[in-house]
Amino acid sequence: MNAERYRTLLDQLQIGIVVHAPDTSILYANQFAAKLLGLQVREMEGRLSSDPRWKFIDETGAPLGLSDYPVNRVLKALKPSLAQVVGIRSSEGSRVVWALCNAHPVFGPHQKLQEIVVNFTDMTAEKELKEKLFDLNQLMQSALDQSQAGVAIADAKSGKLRYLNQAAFLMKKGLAGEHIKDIDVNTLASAWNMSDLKGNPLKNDEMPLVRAVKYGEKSSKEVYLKLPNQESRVMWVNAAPILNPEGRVSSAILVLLDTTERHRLEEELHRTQQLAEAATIAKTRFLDVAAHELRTPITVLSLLLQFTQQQKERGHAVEPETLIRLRNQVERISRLVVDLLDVSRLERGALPISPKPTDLKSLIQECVEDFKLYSASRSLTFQGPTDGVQANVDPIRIYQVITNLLENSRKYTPDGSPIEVELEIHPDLIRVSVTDHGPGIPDREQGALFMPFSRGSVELTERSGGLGLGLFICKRIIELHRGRIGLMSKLGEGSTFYFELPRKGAG
Amino acid sequence: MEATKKTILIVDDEREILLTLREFLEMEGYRVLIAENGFDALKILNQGEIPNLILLDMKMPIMNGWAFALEFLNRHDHISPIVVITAAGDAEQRARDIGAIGWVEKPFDLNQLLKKIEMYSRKPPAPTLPISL
Ligand SMILES: [Mg+2]
Repeated sequence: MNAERYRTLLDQLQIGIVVHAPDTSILYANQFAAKLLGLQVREMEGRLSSDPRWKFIDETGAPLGLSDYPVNRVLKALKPSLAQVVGIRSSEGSRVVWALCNAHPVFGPHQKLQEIVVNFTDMTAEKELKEKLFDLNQLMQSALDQSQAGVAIADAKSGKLRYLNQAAFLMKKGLAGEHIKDIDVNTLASAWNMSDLKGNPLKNDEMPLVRAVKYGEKSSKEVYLKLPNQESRVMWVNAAPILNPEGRVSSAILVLLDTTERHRLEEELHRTQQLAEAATIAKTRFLDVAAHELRTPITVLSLLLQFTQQQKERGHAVEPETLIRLRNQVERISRLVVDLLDVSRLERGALPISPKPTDLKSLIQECVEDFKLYSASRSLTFQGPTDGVQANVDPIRIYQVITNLLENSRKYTPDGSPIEVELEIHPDLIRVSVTDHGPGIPDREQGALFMPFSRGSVELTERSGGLGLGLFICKRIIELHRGRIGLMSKLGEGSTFYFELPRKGAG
Repeated sequence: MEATKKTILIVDDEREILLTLREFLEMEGYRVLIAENGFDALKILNQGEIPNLILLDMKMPIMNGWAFALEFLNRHDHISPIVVITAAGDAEQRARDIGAIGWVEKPFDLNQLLKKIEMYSRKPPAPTLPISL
């Protein structure tokens, strides 16, 4: 074959071939090489490798140093320079063409360098694809790392983990120096501490990722996952196999969703609903009791009036005592209504308290004297310091509290048994107590005494009459004075109801 | 004519109701016994009283209307008819629960109460003959 025939053959190759003289001037270039460098074949001959018609760049995009030109590497080392990736920016455009270059020295007699042959392939498309894949991979990883859900991918062929996002990594037992690619799906149970909702630890073969990668099963279940900090979370675990084009399992993906908070909210909602239902039932019961309690004095009132009318019709005079009895019933109704209004205002936070400097001692004495007027049969004693006790309180409301406590003591203890009222001064607080010698109150009933509408207080009320609101009102009045109310009681011995007011702010 | 007077036992924890009803029924010619709870009512019955009618409140301390009715059935075989007087809305149901012959809802009209007492009270004589309900 002649040289022309070889030339034609070389020009048909999809590989660039350039032959340089030892001074780097081009002796020969085929068509593919010229095209890649943006020139005609005839324009190539004679140019040096450092010709300004082209610019070489390295993979980072920086201009390639002259000594790193494939030809110059060979010149310097006198041996082949292989698989060098070089970007070529032709003079016209900014488009970069990427070439994978191999350069070989050709020696003549006496090992004298005769020529340098450079061949290269166009790898622009391949490199762009690689970059796109890299970008995509980066994008996916950062997206998955942002995710609250744990993601893991296992490889079917190696039986090892291929990928673990940040969240999944943090859920795993921290084994020092362990590389995820060393985690075998056959020992996955030692990486994630999972148990079923009954608390039984998951065996390795029961783990969804293992089932997906080994048996091609798609599954999801809820499990407990113990975190490295020993915290237990509820997880929704999903795993699915990924098939290759032949339909065989190539890998499997696992997604872990933390559902603890959802479960907690559901439980809380359920509890709140139950409380609301209980409150509604209690209020309905309370309304029943309130209606009953109002109906009783109204019945008496109605009976007394009807009876009086009948007596009048028969010519009898109305007895003065009947009028007193009528008035008592009206007062009873108005007391109930006032209690109901107080509770309604307390529930709305609208019960006004007007504190003013008050002598507690004389206030208590006033209560005691007023009480004696209505309960002559009771022995009522008061004990307190010799001097007055100044405090900044709402005298009307405190009078109401003391009267209420005295009323309770009278109502729930046998006629004739004594009641004692005491006023004590302590360094930080003032304490007022009302002690009776009645049957006492069982421990389990004490808590409910101070609560309105509660089952306990409503049941107590049903047995004892009244709305059972008095102590709740007292409690709230004392709390509005930044104090506290309490009860000490012993079955068979009696009860002491007391309240304490802070001395700070006392006049 | 003391011997032909009908005896009414009123059981209610509300003292004013007891007193007013007693006054009224006495004025109407009845003999009236009163008790403030089921326990006191049983005491009266245990003394051999056989009222022609029992007016029974349901909500009472110590022994309520239900407990009283049960004891009354066990010990006295419901020897006297019972009319329930209650402030609750479901008076009829309560009357049925304890096998009462009738009911009156509080507050009530005295003349209507009188009519019910006349209608339901066991006719004298034959105080030793228990009626079964
Ligand atoms: Mg009652």
